[in-house]
Amino acid sequence: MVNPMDLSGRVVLVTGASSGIGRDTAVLLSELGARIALVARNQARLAETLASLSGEGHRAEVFDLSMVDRIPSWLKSLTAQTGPLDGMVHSAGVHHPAPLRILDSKRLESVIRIDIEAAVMLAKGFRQGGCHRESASLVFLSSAAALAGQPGIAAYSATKAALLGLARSLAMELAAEGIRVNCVAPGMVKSETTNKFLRGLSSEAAAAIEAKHPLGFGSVRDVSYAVAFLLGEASRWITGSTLVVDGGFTAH
Amino acid sequence: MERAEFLAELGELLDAGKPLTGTESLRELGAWNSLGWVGFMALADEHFGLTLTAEEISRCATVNDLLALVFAT
Repeated sequence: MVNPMDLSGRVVLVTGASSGIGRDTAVLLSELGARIALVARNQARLAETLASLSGEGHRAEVFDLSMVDRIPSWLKSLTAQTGPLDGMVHSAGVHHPAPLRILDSKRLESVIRIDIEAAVMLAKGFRQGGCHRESASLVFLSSAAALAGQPGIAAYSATKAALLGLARSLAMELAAEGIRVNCVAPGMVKSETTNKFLRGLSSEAAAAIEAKHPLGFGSVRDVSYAVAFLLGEASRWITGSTLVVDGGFTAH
Repeated sequence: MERAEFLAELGELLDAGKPLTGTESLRELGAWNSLGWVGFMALADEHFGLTLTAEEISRCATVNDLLALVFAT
C-alpha cells in the first residue's frame, strides 16, 4: 500500500518545537517516519517534545533564533551532525497582541526579528552546500491573519503577510537548487497560547471569534497535516504557494 | 516595571489624553472597549508574565483596580 504522506528516511528541522504547532508538527513528522532536529530556546520543554517523538535518531538543539546572523553557520555545523536536511519548518514566532496606540519600534522589532529575519537567515543557511538534499522543502508558518485583518494584531498580520511574499520569491530563487518553499496559513487553533488568550476574554467575545471560523476552532494537528503534506513527495510540484488551513475563516 | 511607567502606558492604550491618576472610572474612558481589554491583557503578559482571566478583568471598575491586578504579585 502506498502512503503519500510517508516521510521515512527523511531528516527535518523544526523551529518553535517546544510548544503548540511546532511541537505537534514534530510529533506527526516522526510518526510519518522522519528523523527530527528540534529547535527552541527552552531546554526543558524541548526535552518534553523529544520524549514524545516516535522512532529513533532525533535530536534537540537549544538555539536562540534572535541571533539571526549566527543562523547560517549554526545550521552548517548542525547538518554536519544530522546529515543534509530534506526539510525545514519555521514555526517559531512571536505573537503579542498590541493595539496601534501602544505599538512601538521595540515591539515591532521583536516580532520582525523572529518571524521575518530568522526566516530569511534559516533559508540562507538551508541552501548552503551540504545542508540540504537534492530535493528539499522549506515551510514557513504564516497565519490567516496575513489574509484577513483583525484589530490589535497589525504587527503580527504584517509580518505573517511578509512571509507569503518571502516564500514566493525564494521559491523562484531556489527552484534551480531543488528547494521548494511554501507557507501554511492557519486560523485559530486550540493550543496552550490560544487557550490562555481565550481565558482572558468574556465568553461572548470568545464565541464571536470562534463564530468567524465556520468549522469552529481547529486543532494543532489540522495544521501539522498541512505541513507534512508540503514536506513530502505528494507536494513535489507545489512551490511558492500558501496552504490556508483555517476552518473557513478567510472564506467570508 | 514601575507603577508610573505602567500608568503612562495604560494612558496611551486607553487614549486618556492626559496623565492618568488611577482614580478614573473605566466606564468613562472611551477606549476601555474590546481593543483596550485585549491590550491590557497583552501588557500584563508582556511586563508581568501574567495570564489574567475574564472574571478578574471584568471586576475592575477603575484604573486603580487594573493596577491592583498586575501589581498584586
